[in-house]
Amino acid sequence: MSSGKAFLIDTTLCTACRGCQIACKQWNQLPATKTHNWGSMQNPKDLSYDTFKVVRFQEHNGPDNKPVWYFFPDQCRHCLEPSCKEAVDGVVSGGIMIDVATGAVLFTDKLKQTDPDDVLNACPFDIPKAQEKTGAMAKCTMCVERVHNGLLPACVKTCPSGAMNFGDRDKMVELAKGRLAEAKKRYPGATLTGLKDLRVFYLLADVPKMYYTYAEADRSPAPMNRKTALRKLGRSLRDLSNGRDILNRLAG
Amino acid sequence: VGTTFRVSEHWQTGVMTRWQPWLLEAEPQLFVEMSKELAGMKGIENGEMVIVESARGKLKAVAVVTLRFRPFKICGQIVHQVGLPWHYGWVHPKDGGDSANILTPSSGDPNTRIPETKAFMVNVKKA
Repeated sequence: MSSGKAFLIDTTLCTACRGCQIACKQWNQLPATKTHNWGSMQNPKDLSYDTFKVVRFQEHNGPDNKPVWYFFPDQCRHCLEPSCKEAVDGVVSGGIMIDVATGAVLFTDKLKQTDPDDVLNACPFDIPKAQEKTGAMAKCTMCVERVHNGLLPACVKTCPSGAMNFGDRDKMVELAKGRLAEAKKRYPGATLTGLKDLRVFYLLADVPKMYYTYAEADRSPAPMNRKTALRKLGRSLRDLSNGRDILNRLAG
Repeated sequence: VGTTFRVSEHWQTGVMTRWQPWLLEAEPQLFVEMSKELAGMKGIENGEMVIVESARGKLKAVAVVTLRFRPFKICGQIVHQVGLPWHYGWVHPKDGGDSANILTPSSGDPNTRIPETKAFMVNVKKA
């Protein structure tokens, strides 16, 4: 079985040209949203139903009192064990699927049958966004239809600086480690995120929080409210009636 | 001291690129970048509308208060710099702002005829 695909986003090479952001809109034929300048070059301000990818800008005062400007091309991390899928599986089986060949985490039409809040709150990276009127949800698809046809995702294809990389996951892990060693020479505090459990690795010149609040996930489990607890219970019962998995669940 | 520059999303006056919805989404409006020090002196908040004025004209722009602009110390005197892109103006979009060329002098280099758009005197104040 293959390891699937992965992105390596080397932010030390990113110039924030936002080619990826716009190539994403072009390939997915997403409309532009009405924006205004809000005192930052980051626009649109956040991801949305019509924006799967956004380059986040963050300014800091560097150690030698020179300004540093960090760029963070934000997108779905395509988790190996996606918590959005976990949240939905108990309600609508097949609302969120994992593509076998690539490992891409994909939203399907069935997702309409769920409460959007369950999906939105499940993501530790604040990625999925619902359309205001319909509640329909959307996010990055890893350009899975391009990848199946031997093409790179649109954002990677357009990147002129080598910041966006895509390929087999194990190869990307290797590449990431090599790039980290290289980056450490220039940025001693450089870090890599996501190697263990995601399909999007970020090479950052500084600690993740300096880039963006959700650059790295908070690993503490989300507090369980009554609704999700009932869902989980319902899911276990369903599994029980299907006569599968329950032993594993208890053992786990 | 005012200066002008470009952003990668728009080309020249923006007369073509401002009609591209995706590019306009990324860079929607005229802005003026300035240091925290200058903004502090003038009581300007990041993201608020300000007036930039020269002897030749004035326009409104969104203030972008940034660490990337710093006051200069020149011959013992503190000199503040502000910078504007010049891709906006005229018809579209309605809230895009004016052309930065309203502020710039039409004097130029006698040999190359390149106009002096990189250093000119302006004042900035709250709108």
